Amino acid sequence: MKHPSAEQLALFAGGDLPLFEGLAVRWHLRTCTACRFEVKEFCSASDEARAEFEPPASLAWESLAAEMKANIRVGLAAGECVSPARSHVRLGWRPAAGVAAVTAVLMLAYWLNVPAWQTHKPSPTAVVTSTADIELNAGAGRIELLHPSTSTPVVYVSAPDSLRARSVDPDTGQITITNVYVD
Amino acid sequence: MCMSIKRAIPVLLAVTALAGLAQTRVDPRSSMNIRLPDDSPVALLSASWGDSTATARGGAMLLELRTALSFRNSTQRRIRGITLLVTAQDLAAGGKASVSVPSLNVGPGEAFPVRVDLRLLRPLTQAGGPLAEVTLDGVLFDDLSFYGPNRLNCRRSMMQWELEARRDRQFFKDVLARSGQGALQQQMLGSLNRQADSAAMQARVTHAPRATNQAGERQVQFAFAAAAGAPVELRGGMARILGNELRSPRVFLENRARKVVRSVEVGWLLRDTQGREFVAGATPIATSLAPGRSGSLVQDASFRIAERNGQAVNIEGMRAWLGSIEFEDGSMWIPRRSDYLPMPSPEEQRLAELYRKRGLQALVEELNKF
Repeated sequence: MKHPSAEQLALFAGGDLPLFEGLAVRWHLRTCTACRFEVKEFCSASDEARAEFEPPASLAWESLAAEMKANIRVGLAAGECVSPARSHVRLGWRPAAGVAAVTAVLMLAYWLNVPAWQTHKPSPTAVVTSTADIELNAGAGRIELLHPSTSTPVVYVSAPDSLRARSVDPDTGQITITNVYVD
Repeated sequence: MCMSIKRAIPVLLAVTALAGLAQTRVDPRSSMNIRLPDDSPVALLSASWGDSTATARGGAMLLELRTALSFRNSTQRRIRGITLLVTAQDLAAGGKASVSVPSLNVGPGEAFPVRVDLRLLRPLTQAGGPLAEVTLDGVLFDDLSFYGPNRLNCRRSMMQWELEARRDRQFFKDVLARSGQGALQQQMLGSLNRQADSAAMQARVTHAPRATNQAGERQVQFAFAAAAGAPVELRGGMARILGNELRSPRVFLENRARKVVRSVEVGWLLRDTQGREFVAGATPIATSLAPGRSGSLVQDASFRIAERNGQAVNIEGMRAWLGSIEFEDGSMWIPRRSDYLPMPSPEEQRLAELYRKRGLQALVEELNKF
């Protein structure tokens, strides 16, 4: 015969066992004298402890609860005193308008003074192609200056913003100098 | 009629291709406008369009113009040079180009040709109107007077070309007079050899503000080739180099003339890691340098150099030479033949080509015309 543990018997004596576990212990106590004696002992001890710690009948629970609530409120109020002060002052429309105007001026000044390269405009590029024609790529368009296929132009930089190619016209013998400008 | 899917696909592709080929063709004559002012010293005699085409494909227009314009000198002075301005509509960045013909010798009433060959690609943003316009930017006469709006500062370039042309023609005439046709022939062969030996290159310029330093960028100092008797002393310079890119070159100089210097043209000679030198070009730097004053000039630009096959040229070092000086009164100084001249003048190139194609006698006859 397997006996319940002392813990189970104590919890049974206090009515704290789960339902099925309590039924199993109750079924065991029908046939086990020793365990019934243990449960009886646990109940007696519980009664004595309850009797010892029973609050006095004269204790006013309502006043005690009120005092506890008051102490809690005092504690919370003390906490608010030492926390950062929250400003409840709200700006009028005139100061707010002034702040908005200053902000707008600063933003406009920044936009007007942003360097060109920060506006992310595509930089036009003048480049010489592999066939030695000069090509200007500008946005979605392109312009190329061509040379007669029978001539071999000399290409070089002619200005900070332009490329130049020089060739001899095979028909007329004239020198033709073409420039494309990155404007 | 029933057709399987496998047979239908090639048919559909063929139909689509035919539809693509049936593109809208535009008359190239209406695609380019040639506009001359009422008081123009030259008059347009004719415009030959040759193999010019203008086709609209989808959302873009491809215009290829091969034009031979014929002008007549309407003045009583001889014309030494002409510059035409070519502008394209709707090019986002205002792209423009120019065609210049220096070393002309056109008498009053005489006609002369100017070729304008260009290819223009632009999005079809609006219908109608010429896509490109050709206007007159400047004409230089034999007395060095100038006509035109000069929007491209072509007056400075054309004057420099004319002064160089006079210098070189006089040099070759002196050689012919002093040493005969044999010596002249040697000079022409030497010029042709130098032109053939000059390394061909590609170049790219971008319009950029003064760039900030970048990782890997190094600053190099460079010296100037001697130019005896130059009214401006160039004391050297420095530039920033990053790979094949030359940035913001700075030049230190002193004005020894009695006139205010308006601009200085500086030529750039770049050396790669293999020791080869490339003539990058010559760029004018604007300034206003009073007599006796020193200063430094900075060019806010970046140049990228590559070989003709597209291979980047890693710049190891550089030299510079003085190309020309323009003064405030419009006068100009150019180097002498004995000074360092890595680039032949347009006139020298023309005379050398004339010798190559038509021989020494034709060259002598040409020199005697001036």
